[in-house]
Amino acid sequence: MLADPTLVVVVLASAVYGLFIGAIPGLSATLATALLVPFVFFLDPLPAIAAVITMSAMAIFAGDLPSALVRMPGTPASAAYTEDAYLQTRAGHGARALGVALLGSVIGGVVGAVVLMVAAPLLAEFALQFTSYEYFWVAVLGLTASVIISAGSQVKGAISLLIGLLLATVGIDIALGYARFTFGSTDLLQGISFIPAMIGLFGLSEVLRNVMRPGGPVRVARLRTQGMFGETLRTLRRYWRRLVSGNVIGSTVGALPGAGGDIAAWVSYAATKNTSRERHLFGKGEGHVEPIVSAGSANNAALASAYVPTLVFGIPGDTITAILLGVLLVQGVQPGPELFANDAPLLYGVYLIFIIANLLLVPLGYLAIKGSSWLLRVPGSVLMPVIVAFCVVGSFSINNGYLEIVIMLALGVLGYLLERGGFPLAPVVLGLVLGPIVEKNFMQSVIKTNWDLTQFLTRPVSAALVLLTALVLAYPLLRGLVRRRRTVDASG
Amino acid sequence: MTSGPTAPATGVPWRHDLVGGLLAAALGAAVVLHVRTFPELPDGQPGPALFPGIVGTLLVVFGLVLVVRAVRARGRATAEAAAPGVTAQGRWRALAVLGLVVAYLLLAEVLGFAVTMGVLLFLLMWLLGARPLVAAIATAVTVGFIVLVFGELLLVPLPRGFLG
Repeated sequence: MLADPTLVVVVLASAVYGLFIGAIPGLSATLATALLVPFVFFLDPLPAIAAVITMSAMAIFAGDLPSALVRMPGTPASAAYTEDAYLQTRAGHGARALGVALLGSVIGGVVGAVVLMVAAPLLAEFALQFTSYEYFWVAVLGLTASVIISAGSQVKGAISLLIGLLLATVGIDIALGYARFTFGSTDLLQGISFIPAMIGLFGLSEVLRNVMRPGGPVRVARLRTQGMFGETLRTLRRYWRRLVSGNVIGSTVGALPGAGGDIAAWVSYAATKNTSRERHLFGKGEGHVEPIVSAGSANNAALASAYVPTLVFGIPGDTITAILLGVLLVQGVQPGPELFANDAPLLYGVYLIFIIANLLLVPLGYLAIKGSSWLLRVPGSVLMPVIVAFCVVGSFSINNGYLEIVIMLALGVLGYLLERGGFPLAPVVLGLVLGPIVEKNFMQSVIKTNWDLTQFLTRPVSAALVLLTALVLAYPLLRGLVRRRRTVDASG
Repeated sequence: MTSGPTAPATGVPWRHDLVGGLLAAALGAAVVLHVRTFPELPDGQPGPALFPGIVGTLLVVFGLVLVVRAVRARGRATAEAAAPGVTAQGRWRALAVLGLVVAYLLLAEVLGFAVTMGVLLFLLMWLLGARPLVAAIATAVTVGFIVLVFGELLLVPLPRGFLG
C-alpha cells in the first residue's frame, strides 16, 4: 500500500511544498493546507491525508527558519521563540538553534503520533456507545473549548464562532428541507462550499494582510552549519527534561479542539520560562536555546495529537485538521468510532505516514536549513499574486463553478477584517464544520423523543459531557479568581 | 473575562471593538428578525428557525458585551493603539489583489483562462513592484503549471473563452 508510486510522489511533493510555504514569513501552515486541498481533493483518502500530514509537519518546522534568520516567524507556531532563535543566530549559535528546532520537531512529531496510536483506539472504543445525544454534547464541548482557548479575547472568540455557525446554516435545513439564507440562489441550496470558504479565510486573507504591510528587503543573518548535529545532540541531552515537558504539553494542548501548534508553543514557552533556572537569559542578549527545545518540539507534537479528536469524534483539533475533516466529509469518509472498527487499513496507513513524514523531515529539514537564505529571498511581489491565482483556480476546481470563487472572495475579505479586528479565525472554522453536526444531532434527538429534553441531561455519558462542558466554561472564571488572589497576596 | 494565557495582546484600538461589536449585534438582530419568517414543524415546534435564532440572539448578546467593554476601555486607549496603521499605498495594493479576482470573474468566460490569468497576474506583480522580466517569467510559469496540472492532469475544465 505504501509503495504505491502515487503516494510516494504525493508525499515528496507535499514535503517540498510544506518546507517552502512554512519558511515564508506571513504564510501559515493553514494557508498551505487550504491551497493544497484542491489537489488532494482528487486523490483517495489515504494519499490525501498523507499529503496534509507531511506538508504540515514540514511547514511547522520550516517556520523556525525565518525566525532564526530574519526575526520573523514563518508560521504562527514559531512566534513564541522567534526572539530567542534570532538572538542565538546573531550570537553565532544559529546552527545549534535550528538543529535543535529540527530534531525537536522530529521527536515531537513522533511522540504526537504515538499518542495518537495509543489514545485514539481507546477513545474510539468508548465513543462506540455514543448516540445522537452524546454527539451533540461532544460537538458543543468542542465549540466551547475552541472559544475558551482561543488567542486573545474570549468575547471575540465567541463572536467568531457564532459567525462560523451562522455561515453553516446557509442552505437546506435538516428538519424540513427549508432553504435558509439562500436569497433565491439555487447554487446556495447546498450550503456554503467548505473548501472555497477555507481558501478565502486562510489564503486570500493572508495575502491581503501581507500586501497591506510589505516588509522592506529582508536582511538574512549568516549561518554556519559545521558541527551542527554534534552540538545539537549535546544540547538535547543537556535539556532532555525540557524535551519531555514540551512534548507532554504539546500533545495535550494539540488534542484540545481548536488549539493547534501555535497555542501549544506559547503554553510550553511560558511553562519553561516559569520553571527555568536560566530564565533571565530568555529573549535577551544572546537568547537561549532552552525554550527552543521545549516549544519547538511542542508545536509538532500538537500537530500530530490534533488528529486524536479529529479521527475519533470528528471534532477537529486545529485549523489544519478542520480543513482535512471538511475534505474527508466531501469525499464521503466520516471520521468517528466506526472508522476504527471498519477501516483499519486507512488508520494504520495514517499512523505509518506520521512516522515516515517525521523521519523524512531529518534529511529534508537539513537541506532546508542549508538553502534557507535562498528560500527567504523569494520576493513577495511575485509570490503573493501567484498565491491569489491558486486561490482562484483552487476554488473553481472544486465544483467548476464561479460561485465558489465569489465565496472565496467574500470569506477572504471577511477573514482579513476579522483578523484586523482581533477576532480569531480558528473558531469560525470550527463553527462551520461542527455547526451542522450540532444541529443535526439535536434535531434528530428531539424529533425522536418528541421534545423530551431531559434525555440530553440524564443519560450517563451525556451527563458527564455536560459536566465537562460546564467545567470548560467555568475555567476562565476560576483562573481569574486565582489570579486575583495571587495579586492580592503579592501586594499584601 | 481574561485574555488568553499565552498569546500576546493583539493591540486593537477600542474604536475597532466598538464597530465590530455593533456590526455583530446588528447582524444577529437581522438574523433573529429574518428567521421569524421560517416555517415551523407540523406540531408547532420550532424547526429551521431554531438554530439560526439561537445563534442570532447570542450574536446580539456578545456584540453588545464587546461594545460595553470597548466604551469602558476608552480611557486607556493610548497604550492599546499600538497596532501599526495601514498606509494608503497598502490599501491600494489590497484593492489590486481583490481587483484581480473580480476581473477574473468578469473576463474568464470571454477571454479564457490562460489569457485572463496571464494578463492579470503580470499586472498585479508589476503593481506590487516586481521587475517586468521577473514578472513575465513568473506569470508564464504559473499559468503553464496551472494549465498542465489542473487542466490536463486533474481534468478541471478551465474556461477556454474565444480560443475554444
